[in-house]
Amino acid sequence: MREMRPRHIVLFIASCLILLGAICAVAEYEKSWLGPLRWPSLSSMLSTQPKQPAQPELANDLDLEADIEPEELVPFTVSDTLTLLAEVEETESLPEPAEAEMPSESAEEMSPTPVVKPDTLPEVKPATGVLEAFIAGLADAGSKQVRVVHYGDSQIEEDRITATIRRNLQAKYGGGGVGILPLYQTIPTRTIRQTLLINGKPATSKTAPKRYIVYGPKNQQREDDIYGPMGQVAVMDTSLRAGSDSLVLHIEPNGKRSSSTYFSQVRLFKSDNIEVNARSADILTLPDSTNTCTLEFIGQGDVYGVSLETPKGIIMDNIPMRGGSGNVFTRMNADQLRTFFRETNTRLIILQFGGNVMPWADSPERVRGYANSMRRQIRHLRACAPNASILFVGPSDMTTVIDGERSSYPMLPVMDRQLAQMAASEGIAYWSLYQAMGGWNSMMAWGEKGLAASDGVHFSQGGADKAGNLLWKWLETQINKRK
Amino acid sequence: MIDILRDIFMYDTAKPLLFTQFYFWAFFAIVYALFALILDVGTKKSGNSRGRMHLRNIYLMAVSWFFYYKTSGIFLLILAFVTLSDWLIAQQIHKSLTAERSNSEAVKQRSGLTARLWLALSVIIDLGLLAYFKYAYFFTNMFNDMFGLEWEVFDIFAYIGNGFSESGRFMVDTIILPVGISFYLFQVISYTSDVFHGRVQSVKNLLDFGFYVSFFPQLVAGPIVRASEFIPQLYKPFHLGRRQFGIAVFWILNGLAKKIILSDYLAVNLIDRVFDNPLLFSGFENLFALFAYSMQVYADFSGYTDIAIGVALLMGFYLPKNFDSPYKSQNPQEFWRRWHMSLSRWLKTYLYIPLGGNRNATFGTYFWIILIALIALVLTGSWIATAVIAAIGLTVAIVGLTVPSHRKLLYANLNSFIVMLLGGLWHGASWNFMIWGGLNGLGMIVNKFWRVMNWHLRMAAMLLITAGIYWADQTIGTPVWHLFRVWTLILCAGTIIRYIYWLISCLIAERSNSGAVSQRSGLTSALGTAWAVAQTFTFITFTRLFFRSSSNLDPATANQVAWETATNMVYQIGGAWDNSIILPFIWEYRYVVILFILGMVIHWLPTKFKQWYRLNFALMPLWLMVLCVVVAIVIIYQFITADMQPFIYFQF
Repeated sequence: MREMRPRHIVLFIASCLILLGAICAVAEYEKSWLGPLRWPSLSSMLSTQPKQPAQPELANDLDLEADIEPEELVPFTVSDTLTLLAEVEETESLPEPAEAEMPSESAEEMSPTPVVKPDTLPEVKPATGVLEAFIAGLADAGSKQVRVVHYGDSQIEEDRITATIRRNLQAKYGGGGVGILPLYQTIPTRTIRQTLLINGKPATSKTAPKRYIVYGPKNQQREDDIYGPMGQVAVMDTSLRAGSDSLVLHIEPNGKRSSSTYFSQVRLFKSDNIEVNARSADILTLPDSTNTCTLEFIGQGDVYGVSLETPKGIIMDNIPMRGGSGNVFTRMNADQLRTFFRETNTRLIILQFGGNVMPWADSPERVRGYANSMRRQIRHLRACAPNASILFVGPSDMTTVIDGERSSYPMLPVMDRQLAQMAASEGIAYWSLYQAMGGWNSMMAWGEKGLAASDGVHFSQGGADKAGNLLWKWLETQINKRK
Repeated sequence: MIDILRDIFMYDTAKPLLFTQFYFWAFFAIVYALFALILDVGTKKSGNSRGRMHLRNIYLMAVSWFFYYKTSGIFLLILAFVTLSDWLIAQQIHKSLTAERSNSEAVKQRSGLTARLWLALSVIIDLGLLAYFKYAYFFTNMFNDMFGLEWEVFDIFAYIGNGFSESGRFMVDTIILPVGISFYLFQVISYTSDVFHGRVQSVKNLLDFGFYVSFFPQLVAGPIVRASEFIPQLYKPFHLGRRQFGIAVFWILNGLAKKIILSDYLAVNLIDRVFDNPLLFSGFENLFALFAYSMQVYADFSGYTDIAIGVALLMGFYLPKNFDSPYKSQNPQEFWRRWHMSLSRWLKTYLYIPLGGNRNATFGTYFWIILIALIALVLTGSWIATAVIAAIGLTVAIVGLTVPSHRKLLYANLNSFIVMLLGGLWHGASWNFMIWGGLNGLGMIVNKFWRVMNWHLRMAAMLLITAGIYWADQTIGTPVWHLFRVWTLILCAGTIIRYIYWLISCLIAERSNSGAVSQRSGLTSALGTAWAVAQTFTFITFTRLFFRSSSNLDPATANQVAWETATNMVYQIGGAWDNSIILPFIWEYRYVVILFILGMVIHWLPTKFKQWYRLNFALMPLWLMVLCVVVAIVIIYQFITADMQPFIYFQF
């Protein structure tokens, strides 16, 4: 055949389609013949509705003694894995208090492939008066500092979410500055640009003072537990020669100026033998409100952070712990934390974790194991900050791929409810970011509006602003309720 | 069943007819069956009768319009409008030119002017539509910035569509870019211009012309088919050799594999994640994602055109080649001869040559320089950027006027730089596309000068640049300078080796008294080529930092997001790397890494070898080809990502 007529080509196309259709039929009736190959069934090809994996039933038979197996971790990024591995090694299980028990259901009653609407999950009755310490403390904001510390995972990096809450709180109760910053910033924030100059040249992670990170891999952790309130410390050691080497930190606003970028004092968290601008005091009062400053560090010892603030009003810290799941506070020196919370009048600690364990927490047992480990962290923090309220912000909705279809992590609703339960039983506040976003598959819906990153896990900048606003609205309602 | 029919026939933004969707191939199978019915029912001879050809053209136009309706809904009216307006205008141009040929001198002059005015009207309408849909936000921002206004875009077409109301079915406060508008408007401009220059006869039949404008395989993302290449095919009977058929099937499979395996899989599993949040990833991961993005853009766009060429060929139509293994290029000029060839050719014919090409600078040259300087002012809000561009234009003008020996060289470079900048702006009215176009233009010019330098001068220039960048890195020390320092050190090392090789060659030539430097041996020649290819690929990849735009309609936001992405990626790549992460990364992303390497290796295979296996595929027995198609589709399906991935070039 030297020429192809259209009728020959029709036959060719038809042959291909028939063979492919035959494979569809096999996939419909005897999928095992295809082995590991994915192929759509006839019914799914002809269906006009997109297939979505079912939302799972909330499991109630959680095993408190669940062991965490690092080798099964599925990371978002490689650095997440390294961090998570480091954290997990330290995680311990605690016996669960009796009041934390969820309503139980026998295994027989559980459907193997359940489809459950969120409203069928067991309700959690939140503890009352959990934000009392914070709300009462706000009354003093006119005369002294009231501090809010926001710890979280990569979801709050770049000052995301925190910036929105801080802006609103400072607009309402006064205050300025962005709170605590590390000496050497490895992840720029959208609010502040900071440059560390060593002998006049910008520092790199090689030339900057050695950094130890409590949530980092083993080789980045220090032998003792003195990490400071940020969980990271920069050590100015003998490699920097006092008198001949200069170490200068320059701070300026990044982009738009706002109330948060203006500050009038710098609080230094450091060893006593380090001098800043030729003074050993912990608080440098600036002559006037400013949005830039230059600090020269001299001496040897630890620098835990530099806080930009005003003498009164709201000071809010953004402390992201990349790849972390929040299981690190017990490894941070309790005395140091206690001093920090007390001296800075910390009235609210926000913990925003859980997302990084979702790829690993694929069973109710593991979900409970994680919630349980967080219980221990909360107790530790409460002991360190008895005057502060604690608010746990649960993980956002997160998308994964199951059998070729995108959907929320099956255990997310379980995790959300389990953390709410844990928070209620510990007498702390809980805000479900997952529910506020819209619940099941909401990250996909946010993505369609440009509010989510394509990894289905993080927000876009617009999404982070929206999430921040949602949290602020909730917080504002809680404050108003009490009034 | 009603749902399926509705899915097939009704416009649904979530279900466009994409080449990667089952619905497209079901649609194509039905379309082709009717196509065969039109051409093949009856005797063999009648299949090629004029009446049948005409019927075929009308049928394919109707199908193409349906295809565009499924992709863009009501925007079909714009396609219909430009088809009608340019057809009518071309008729008028043709009439004026006919009068010019047959009449007295005075009438000739008048007719020439009339034809020119008709051509101008066509260009104004077409570019006006493009400006309205593509640059409305940009112009609104420009006026707001210049006069302190707070205007918002207002979609007049939506207003009319709502029955002169601001509320109704269509939103008046957003202007959506119709899919493929940049492609088919360029196509109709080429038609009126070709008619004006006598390169093609005006098409008598509106439906034939409509078919040319809307032919569905290439309607939404090219190749941009010039009138003179396609219109003659409208009047040719169907003929498809056995080998051509095999080649068409090969192109379709090749395109599907490129799009789904190389583009979508890499994008979903790595590239999008990194570009969305560069700071979450280490320097190495960012660098890898950037190179992978280079591969993705190529695989995505060339995959689309491979399928378009294959599908058109099955219907007996030849579309021009759009890519010729562009990452094999040894310099930026060559890259632009191999990349998006239909756009490059269009820009050369309808922009570069009218601007004066490599001979002269025209009014257009200076007009564009001034306009681009103004655009730079608006986009950056910086007088410095504007002054730099204006100064370049002025310097070239002065040197061109005062030093005639350099005039041609300068004008040629200025014109090609303008073409590259406008080529950038064609992709979107944003600063990042201008930087992208500008960098490509600059790369071409620098390379041109580099190639005419002797080796001593090259070495001196390279050492000077390296020292300058080293000094800047030591003084300023920001990540972007670290990045440049590493890059120039590699370039400098390569240049030193090549310089030494050249010196040795000269010495040997002198000793042997032959006087001429001998030709490079096979190995050194291959090394030289590999070096040039690697440099060009790296340069093009670097420009891609600015190519990935945000999907936001508002250019101010899009610019900000794109700029932040680029700076954050540079921050990570130019910052100190955490080397401990490299091996775990390669392991975690092993499939992505393997696919990327495989893609590059296939891309760099010798052309002859590729022709050999393409031909062997084309000549295999039909039953075996059917089996190959089925196996290939099953394999490709394994890589399908859960989300529908639109083709990147649909946005332009």
